[in-house]
Amino acid sequence: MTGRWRIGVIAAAATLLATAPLSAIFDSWTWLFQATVVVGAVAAAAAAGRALRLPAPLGPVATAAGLLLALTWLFPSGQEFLLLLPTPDTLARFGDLLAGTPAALAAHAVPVADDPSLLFVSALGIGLVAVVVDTCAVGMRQPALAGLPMLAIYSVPVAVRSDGVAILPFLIGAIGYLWLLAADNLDRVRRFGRRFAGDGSAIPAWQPSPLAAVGRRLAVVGLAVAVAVPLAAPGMTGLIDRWDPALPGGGAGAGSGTGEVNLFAELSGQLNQDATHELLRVTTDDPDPFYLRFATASEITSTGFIPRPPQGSPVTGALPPRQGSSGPTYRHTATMELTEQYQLAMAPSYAELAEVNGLDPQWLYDPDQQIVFSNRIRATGIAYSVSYHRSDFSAEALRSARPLPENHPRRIDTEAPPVPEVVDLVAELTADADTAYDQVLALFTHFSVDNGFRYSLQTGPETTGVAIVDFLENKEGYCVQYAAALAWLVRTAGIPARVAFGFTRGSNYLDDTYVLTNRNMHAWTEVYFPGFGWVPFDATPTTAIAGGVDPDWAPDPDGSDPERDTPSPADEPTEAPTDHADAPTESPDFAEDGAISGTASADGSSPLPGLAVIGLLLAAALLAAPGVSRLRLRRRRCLPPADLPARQRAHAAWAELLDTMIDYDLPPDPTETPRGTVARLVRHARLTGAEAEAAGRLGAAEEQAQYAPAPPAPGHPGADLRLVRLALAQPAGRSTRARAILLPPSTRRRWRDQLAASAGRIRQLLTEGGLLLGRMSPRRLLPAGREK
Amino acid sequence: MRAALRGLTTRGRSFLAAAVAAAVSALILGENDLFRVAALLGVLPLLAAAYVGRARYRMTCRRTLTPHRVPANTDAQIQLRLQNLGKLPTGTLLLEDRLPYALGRRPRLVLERLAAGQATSVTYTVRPEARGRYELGPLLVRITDPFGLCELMRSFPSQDRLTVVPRVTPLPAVRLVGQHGGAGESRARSVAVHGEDDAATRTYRHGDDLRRVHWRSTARTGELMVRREEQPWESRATVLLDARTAAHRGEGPTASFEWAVSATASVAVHLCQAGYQVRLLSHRVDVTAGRNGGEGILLDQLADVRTRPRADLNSLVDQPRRRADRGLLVAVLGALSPGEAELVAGARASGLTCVALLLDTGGWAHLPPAEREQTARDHRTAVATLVESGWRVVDVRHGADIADLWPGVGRGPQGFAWRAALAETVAGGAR
Repeated sequence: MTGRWRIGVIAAAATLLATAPLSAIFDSWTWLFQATVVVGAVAAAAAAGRALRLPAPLGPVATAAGLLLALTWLFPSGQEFLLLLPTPDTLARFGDLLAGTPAALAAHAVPVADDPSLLFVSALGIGLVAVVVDTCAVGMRQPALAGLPMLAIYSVPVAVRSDGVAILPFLIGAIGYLWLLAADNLDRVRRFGRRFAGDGSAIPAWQPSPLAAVGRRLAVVGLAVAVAVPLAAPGMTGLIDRWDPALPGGGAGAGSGTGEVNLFAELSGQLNQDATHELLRVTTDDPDPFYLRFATASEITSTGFIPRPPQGSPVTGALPPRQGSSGPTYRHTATMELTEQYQLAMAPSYAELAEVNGLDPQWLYDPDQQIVFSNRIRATGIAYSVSYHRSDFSAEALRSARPLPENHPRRIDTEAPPVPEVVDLVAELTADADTAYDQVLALFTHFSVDNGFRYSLQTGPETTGVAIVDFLENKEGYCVQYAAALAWLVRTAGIPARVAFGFTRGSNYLDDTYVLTNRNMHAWTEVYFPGFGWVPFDATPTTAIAGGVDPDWAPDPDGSDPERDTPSPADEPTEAPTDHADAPTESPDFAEDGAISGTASADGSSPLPGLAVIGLLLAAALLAAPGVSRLRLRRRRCLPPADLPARQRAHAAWAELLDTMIDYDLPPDPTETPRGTVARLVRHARLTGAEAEAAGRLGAAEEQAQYAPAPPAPGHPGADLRLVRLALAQPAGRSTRARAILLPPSTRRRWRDQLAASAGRIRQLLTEGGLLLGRMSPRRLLPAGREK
Repeated sequence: MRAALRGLTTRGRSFLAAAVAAAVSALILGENDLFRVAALLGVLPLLAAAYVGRARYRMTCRRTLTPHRVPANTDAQIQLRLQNLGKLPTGTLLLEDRLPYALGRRPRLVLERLAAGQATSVTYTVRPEARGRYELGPLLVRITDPFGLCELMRSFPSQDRLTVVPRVTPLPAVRLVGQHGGAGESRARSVAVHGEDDAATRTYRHGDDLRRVHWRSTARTGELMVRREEQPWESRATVLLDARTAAHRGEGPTASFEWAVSATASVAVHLCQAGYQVRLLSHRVDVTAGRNGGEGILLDQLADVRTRPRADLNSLVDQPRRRADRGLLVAVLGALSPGEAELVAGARASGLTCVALLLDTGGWAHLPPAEREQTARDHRTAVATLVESGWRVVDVRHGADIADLWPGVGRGPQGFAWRAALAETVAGGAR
């Protein structure tokens, strides 16, 4: 019976430990308090049920009742009997809380604040897990099954957080599970039969089994492997992700890799909002900055573009080298201040970042998409500064770009679903364009007002079911349609293109500080030219948007010179093109290769190398610990403080000699006299000459220290010890020598003894404590019959 | 290691399967965190197997039984002595000694740890309910890991035999005539009735009872002489057990045959201890036990005696007559038909004191009234037949105690009581 009690308590504790991964989801620790209450209530109900000897099928009913009471106390509606007994009002409140969950999920980003709905759901879930765990482990005596509900808890943060769960919560949960397993099996072993030890004495049932110690060791090894194996196989990209990128988005073609925001919907939503609110301020020393970017969409489906899940390494590390551009580049810096209204998990920045300051390592940089993103937090209210390369392209230079090689990795960005109308249109438009740039330009100019395209936030009616055909026919749309349509056309022409999202420069600026609002969100097209990288083309009429840029290589097809609110090009770049020295002057292809290799390395370089280095250092430190400890001890003994009495010095030298003997497989006999030990040492190690004399001196010093009333100060025990040690090491095998240095048996023996001694002390303390408790037991106050 | 992997329990195999499933789904979903779970689940059974199979245990096991021969319903101590011959300490061993179910629950022991070279012994008690010979062992050793993922089973092939003899009831001392069975080697009976001149005497030794001084010899030899107790008298007895299946009724330990075996054992042991040379006769059993400690042989025979379906009563009752030795014949008989009763009656030879413990077997089983009536009638007929031919018959009913019935052997028809009284006076001095 005591066994079942124990298992019940351990099952509750294991459940509580298994909730550790939830710490990754919640911002505060309220959930832990509630989990403790809930699990405790369930365990108490289970214990009560067993004490009342309820039939086994009623066990879950009792535990569920305990759970209900706990939830009632934690989430009261104010109408309970005696705070604990639920009433219909309570249940209605539970219903409300449950119903509020989807809204709460939508309203909060991870880590979430203490939302009552979410807390209720987590407490309910933990309570149900506790019920199942108790039923499995105690009721059915199958604690292995209890792992499934625990795994369910673990899977919640795993599913919610795409950047993975920290190792520590996993370890805590796993320890709980293993504890439960081992406790159950040890209980089984204990109940197997009468226990007795090697000396024939019976062992009481409550005494711990040596199997438990084995269990602890196996658990440590198993957990170490479990942590190390996934580290050895880093950067796991799921096969699903690789094969069908549209799947995570939920099929609407509107998913995003971060699983949080549909960028197109976000954009149209922001643009269509009645209210205008400030999202960020950017201050830059670039007199003519291009658009701020925060995302790209380069996966295409029949319904449109969707973002590719970004991958990258922390911005705090060195950023990968920039993609090659043979045009002139200028280096600038910019400072962003995001407001509380900014809700995206992507930090706006300029293309081709060189350096980011002020962001913590949760922020990652994707060198391919050239965006700064996070899998965990939103960029709400943060401030940071970036330094970036601003490229200036010219039409002539772009015309000189080589055609894209057949096996170029960017070919992936030329895929487009074949839509007959689009294919025909592209063929017609690019019929007399020679170079890729000219083809792009021809497609770009197609979206001119002359061709009937009109900017409108209200898109025309859908008729064909294919959005791009609708837009090409209706010729009415806003930046998203323009950008996606141009990218689609360019791709159909066989040139890599993607849609970029960001902000225009806005209409509200003061000196070099731009204030950007939700109305300034924008989308445009980026086209890839070998040797130049991604070149932006904004097909949206500059007249229609505030703060549009009309670059030289992509002049506004409408030709007019509108009242653009950009700073005049007169303020030419004041800074010298800083990057010309280290900018790739090699052939574009070579630069391309560099860029690609950089991208590839960036793919695999999650935070793992750092962790691996730390792990290696830790492991090395652990491995070196015995050897270092031995060294320090030897130094202390050979070079004792000067004020140490001669007797102590001789003893220290002698102890060192004994330890040296242990290290080299010549264990001393505690019953031997120093003289006998020295004689044996000389005999076994075949010491001769100076070494034998040295050993003799050490022995004599020890003898005198033991027996002489005032022993003389020993001469140079350090030198003697060294002589003996070298003599011992010489004939020993290589492995013995290595062991004596790295893992000295004497140190192991000392540690073992210390461990045993401290364990004994603790046991004694516990026993004394138990006695003390027994002495304070109120039972002693009662008149005892046998005392009379 | 391979053996250990084969020893994976259901839990261990499930862990491996779950690990594979988790690893596959982790690869498909690209979840590093799930892969961690898979790694943990996969490595645990392997670690457990490595722990369990890490050493080939070299151990010896010896079983000591005290006593080797034990009466039914009494305790026997069985000591297991285990020694670890290997160089590694053993882990926790779960020991289970294979016992026949008739010996009760199998003893289960948990040996927590046995250091290298250490030996340990542990004792357990069995309490056999029924007589017989029982094989003890082999000893099964189970090695398990802390999580119950892997379990190896080994067994020590050594077996030992425990003999459970029938229960022996001490019988009251009753004088039996016909105990002197002619000449033979020296056997002790304190009788000095015939020719006291030839009474063996010896010189007085310090401590001898003065009342035993043989004054006549003393006078003749001029030295203080005392009577010797030992006399060259031979006491022989034959105990006959009727083991025909047809003659007995009832099942298992409550069968009439068990009562007969127990009674036979009690009588044989009693006679042995009383100084008789006891010959035990049954179908295919014919052993003679000497006076000192010989009852062990008889009890061993009785431990596994079984009823025999095709046994012949004629050959059985013929045997005591065929041998020259006479003396006392105690027959424990089951149901006898009138014909068989005649046969038994005829087996009585002159000079042979015949005592029959005749079981009324109808009481040992539930019989239909007609059959019961028939059995009772046959029983009465058999009693009458035997008594008429000079047997002393003790009528045994169900539930009777042999110790209560035994004095009845001394009484009986044909002046047995008188002869017993005579024997009493004859032996009187010795008491």
